[in-house]
This record gives sequence, C-alpha cells and structure tokens, in this order.
Amino acid sequence: MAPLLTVEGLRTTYTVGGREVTVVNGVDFQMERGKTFAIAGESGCGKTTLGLSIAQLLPSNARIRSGKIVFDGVDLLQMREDDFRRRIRWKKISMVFQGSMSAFNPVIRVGDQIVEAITHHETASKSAARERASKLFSAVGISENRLYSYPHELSGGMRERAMIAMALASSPDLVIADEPTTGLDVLVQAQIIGLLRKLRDDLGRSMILISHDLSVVAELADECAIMYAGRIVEMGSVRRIFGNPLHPYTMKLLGAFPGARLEKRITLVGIPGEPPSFLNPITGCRFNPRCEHAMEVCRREEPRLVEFERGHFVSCFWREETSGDNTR
Amino acid sequence: MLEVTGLKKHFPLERSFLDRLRGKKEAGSVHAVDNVSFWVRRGEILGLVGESGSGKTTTARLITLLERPDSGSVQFEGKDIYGLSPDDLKNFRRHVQLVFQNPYDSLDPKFTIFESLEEPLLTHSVGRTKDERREMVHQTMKKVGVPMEALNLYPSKLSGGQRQRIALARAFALEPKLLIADEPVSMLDSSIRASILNMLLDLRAQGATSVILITHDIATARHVCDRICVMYMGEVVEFAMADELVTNPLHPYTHALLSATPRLDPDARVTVELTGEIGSAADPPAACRLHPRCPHAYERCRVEEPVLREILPGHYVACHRSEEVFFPKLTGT
Ligand SMILES: Nc1ncnc2c1ncn2[C@@H]1O[C@H](COP(=O)(O)OP(=O)(O)OP(=O)(O)O)[C@@H](O)[C@H]1O
Ligand SMILES: Nc1ncnc2c1ncn2[C@@H]1O[C@H](COP(=O)(O)OP(=O)(O)OP(=O)(O)O)[C@@H](O)[C@H]1O
Ligand SMILES: [Mg+2]
Ligand SMILES: [Mg+2]
Repeated sequence: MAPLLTVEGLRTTYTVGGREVTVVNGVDFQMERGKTFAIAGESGCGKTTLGLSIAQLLPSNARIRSGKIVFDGVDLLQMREDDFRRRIRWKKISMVFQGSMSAFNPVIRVGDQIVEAITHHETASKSAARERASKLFSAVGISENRLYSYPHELSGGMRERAMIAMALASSPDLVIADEPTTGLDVLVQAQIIGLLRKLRDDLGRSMILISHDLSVVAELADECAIMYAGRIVEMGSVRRIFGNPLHPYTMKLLGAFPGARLEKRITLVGIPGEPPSFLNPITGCRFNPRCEHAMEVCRREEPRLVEFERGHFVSCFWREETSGDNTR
Repeated sequence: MLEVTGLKKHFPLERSFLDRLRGKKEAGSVHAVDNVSFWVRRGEILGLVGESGSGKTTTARLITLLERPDSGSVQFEGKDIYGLSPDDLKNFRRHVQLVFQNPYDSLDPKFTIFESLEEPLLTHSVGRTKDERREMVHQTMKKVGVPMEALNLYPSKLSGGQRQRIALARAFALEPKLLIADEPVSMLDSSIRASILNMLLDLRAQGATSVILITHDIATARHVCDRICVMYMGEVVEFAMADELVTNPLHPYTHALLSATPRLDPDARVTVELTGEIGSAADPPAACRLHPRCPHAYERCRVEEPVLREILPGHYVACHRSEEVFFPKLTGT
C-alpha cells in the first residue's frame, strides 16, 4: 500500500532580525496509514516546526525552502493555498497544538470554538455542528455540559481532550498531536494516552505524535524518528529504537531517562556539553561536540541517514564504521 | 534531623459576589496541607511526590518559614522552628535552603549571575575577601557545569536549564544542612535533568547535606531518593523506603501512580486505576480523600478518616484496606 505521507528533503527556515536560520534541515520520512509515527527529541530541535510545516500552519516569518510533502499522492507544496485550505486543512490533516491553554481563544466558550472549527471548514449547519461537538466531547470523555465552559474553567487534562475533540471534528485522515501530554499529571496523562490509543486501534486513525517524552513515545507509537538540531538522526520501529538504539545521541537519551525501569534503581547519565544552537550551526555531525565516539570525519562531514538494518535508519559515521568491523 | 508533625495549613477563600449577596460569612478554605507528618534523616534524600495541587510547595514553604502553619510543628535539629530566637533564626536561614519551583522566580533579574551567587555569601558572612568569595563562586560554577562566561550575564540571557543550575549552585554555595528543591527538573530536558539530579546525589555522597526533592514524577524520585513520601490532596498517604514503595506499594493511590507511569518499554501499557480527576482542595471529600475515585473503597472509607500507620517496618500507609487489598495471602482465604 502506498504510504499516507512522504516527506522528502524538507527544509524550513525562520527569519529573525533579517537573518534566516534553518530549523528543519533536510528531513525525510514516510508513514503508513493507520499507524502512529512519533517525532521525538529535546526542546528546540524543530519538532513543532516540522509538524507545522506538514499542516501548512507555519507563522509568517517561516518559509519552506525546499522539499516535498506528499500526502495521499499529492504534493502539498505544489498545491494552491486556497485549494489546500478547502480540501485538506482540518478535513484531511488536523493538528492538536502544543499548549492547549494558548491554543484556545480564552474569551470564547470551548463548544463555540469547536462549532466554529466545523462550520469554517465544511458546509455544516450550526445545529449539526453542535450535535457533532457534543458527540465528540463524550467520545473524549468530557461531559457535554462542559461545551459551555470557558477554556480556563477546564482542568489541564480536560482542555487537552477538548483540543483533541476539536482536531477530530471533521474526521481527518491524519492528526498531528504536538506534545499532547506535556505538563499533565501522570494519571491524567494516562487517560490521554488511552484516548489516543483508542483513536488508532478502534478508529484506525493515522497520527503524528510529537513528544520529547520518550516513555510516551514508547507507549503510543509504532514508528519513531529521533531529531537532533533540525535533522533526523535515527528512525525505525519503536521496538528497534528502544531495544537496540544505534545513534550515540539516542543511546544517551535513553540512559538519561528516569521512566526506564521502576523495579530497579538505576544511575541516570546526562549528556555532557551544551544543547545545540541554530544560530551557530556546527560543521559536520551536529552531535559531534557532545559525542564520545566522534572521529575526525564527524567534525568535517555531515552523515546521511542510511538504512542500517531493514527498516532501521541511522545517520552516524561511527556506527557505519563499527558495523564494518563486526562483519569482517 | 527534621521532623514534621501534624502540619496543617488552610488558605481562606475569597467570598464570591454571590456569597456576599446571600450574606454568607465564610467562603470556606483550601485545605492545602492537612495533618502532614514525616521526617528527614541526616544525609538522606527524601522525595515528596504527588500530583499538582497536592500541597508539596506549601509544605516546603512551611518548612522554610515562608508561611506559618495553622497547627503542627517542625523541629530542626531538635528545635521548634516557629519559636527560634533571632540568633537561631539566622543560623536556620543559612542551613536550610529552598530552591523555588520556577527557575524564572529564583534569580533576581537585576543581578548578574556573579552578584546572585555572591549575595548569599555576603549575607551570611561566608568568605572574608572579595577574592575568597570569587573563588567560591568559581568552584560552585564548576560543580554545576555552567560556563564561567555566564557570570557577567543577567539571568534573562540564560536557558531555563542553566538558570535552574545556577539557582541550585546558589543554594549549594552555603553548604546547607538541608536543601529543599521544589521541582528542580520538571521544566528541563531529560539529558540536563539527569545531570542536575546527579548533583543532588553528589551532595548526598559528601554526607553532610540532606535533601527534600519535590517532584510530581515518581520515576525520578525512585532513582534519586532514599525514601519517598506520597501526598494526595494535602495529606500523606504513604511513606517508605524508595525501593519498598515502588516494588510493594500499599496505598491504592501510590499503586495507581505507578501503573500510570509509562515505561520505556514498547510492550508495557499504562493503566488508569482511579476514576475521575483530582477534586477541589476547597471541598475535599470527607473521611478518606481518595474514596470517590478508589476502586477499593467501601463504607468505612466514607465515614472514617484513615490515619498513617506503620504497616510493615518503616512502611507507613493511610488506608483502611491495605492488608486486604495488597496482602491477599495474609488474610487467609
Ligand atoms: N516563530 C518563530 N520565529 C523564530 N524562531 C522560531 C520560531 N518558532 C520556533 N523558533 C525556533 O526554532 C527552533 C525550533 O523550534 P520548535 O518549536 O520547532 O522546537 P520543538 O522541538 O518543538 O521544541 P519544544 O520541545 O520546546 O516544543 C527553536 O530554536 C526556536 O527558538
Ligand atoms: N497562597 C495561597 N492561597 C490560596 N490557595 C493556595 C495558596 N497556595 C497554595 N494554594 C492552594 O493549595 C493547594 C496546594 O498547593 P501547592 O502549591 O502546595 O501544591 P503542589 O503540590 O506544590 O502543586 P504543583 O505540583 O502544581 O506545584 C492548591 O489547591 C493551591 O491552589
Ligand atoms: Mg514544540
Ligand atoms: Mg508546587
């Protein structure tokens, strides 16, 4: 079956103070229908920018400089903007924005905002839209009378669920969920995880899950890409990536994570050095200053994402070289 | 070293307009901390764990004299902190340091990083000369791994992680006997998080400092703390050695927290054992505060408040049904 979404050589920039910085720098991936594909990585690596690029919701100082985003056989970047808005946005691709508090308009009741989202994107009557909104609310486990609440009157977990309900309003093929559980208590987070899992398993919904929390990725995703400084450094099934990480950054990231094992006390190990900055990009592999395996070539050249094992991609000279040693 | 007994703090609620119209005198109060007891041993790291609003920060503010309790006592090295003499008070303020929850609150934006780090040394007359203090500041910067160039910068120029490390450095500089760190890592990426937690472990390894680590993340507490105290709606529900608490939780709330915590294992699944959401602390349920959400609640839980009791050596629980639910073998049948 053809993939639902193919991203190729995507490069997105922001212009700040007359200077253009590349924040998504040559990203390639594919995702299948009915699956959850996660984009993971630390704060500022470009996850949200990648999500907004796919949903065509970038702010005005951003530009997609090159690449392809092929959705259901159509290159979205070749589409006229009004065409995209009429045919794709919200109906085919919708987004759950990071930070549900700022995503809602604070002075409009959440129910009205959902109705507005429905009537804005399709020709539905107000009453039909309202009926759909209450169905959506019960589907995400919020009582219908909460439609009349203002965003600040909902708890963080309810707001996140209302946001998910809004994203589902027009039964899109692809939902992009940006940090849907960040900042929530674990018990509430577990409810949201359950809800998102139901969307995939019961409704066959395709989802891009953006999260810096690897344990949430392990819970929810089928496939996963690890991003560092605007590039994908490793990609594959979550089972592969969590069971047998190949990139030194992924290995470190997993070792720093407290949720790994609760049964046994472990020593957490941080990643030395400073997080990367887009203003002073590093030559060679972006991770090389913090990498214990860095070699001469890593400081000079940028590694490409290559298929190291079937379905498991990595971009790392050290890994390529050590594998050569193993097979000899 | 620190003993907290029956600590209670309620915040009065503002009467709403309607309340006033109806001539209601009292608007009620938020039960932020209710009858909280625990103790900290010398050189240990104690975790204070619970969901948002469970009263962790209020407890920390009570222990550091930023807030006065309605009742209860806190003993530090054998003395009641609410009745300290001015001299003892000065000593207490030097030896008990609090790092605030929000890294944006803990550093004064008008001070450079150097000034922020030097200030507590000056206040407590640690280090006689400017050079001596400069040397001490450099040492702490090295310890927390922030580049020296940051010393002449203002906090606004630093990342959240760097600010948090400076705030900890500031507290460490005085070599306190008790450090209370309120969510020191919750806003940070896991790679920086690990290095900050390791700073706490290093402190403990030196043996002189005890730490109260406040966190909503039981997984973090598990790997860093010696003992863990779990709070729910202003009350302590379980208190035990970290190992014991996570492998043998005896309170339904702790059990639920653990089952809801995702692992890094794609085959593991979180489960939600409690129904509904945490209620309002202004109107907490009677008797056991968990009973409306608890799958094991029965009549007694609705009428009789469970007290914290030592159910196994060193393992304290406030639940009527711990034995029945969690030791099925012991009760026969
Ligand atoms: N509108 C904007 N204008 C200029 N720079 C921006 C803009 N939005 C984001 N950036 C910068 O682009 C980089 C990537 O940001 P992005 O929000 O995509 O990261 P992220 O991976 O989603 O991070 P987080 O986990 O913190 O949400 C950051 O350095 C950020 O400061
Ligand atoms: N000054 C205050 N006035 C009124 N209510 C307060 C005050 N400080 C705290 N509260 C209330 O007391 C309860 C406990 O708050 P506290 O900040 O101690 O919780 P916490 O466990 O630290 O939560 P979080 O994880 O969100 O930091 C909350 O319901 C809070 O709204
Ligand atoms: Mg983001
Ligand atoms: Mg707090």
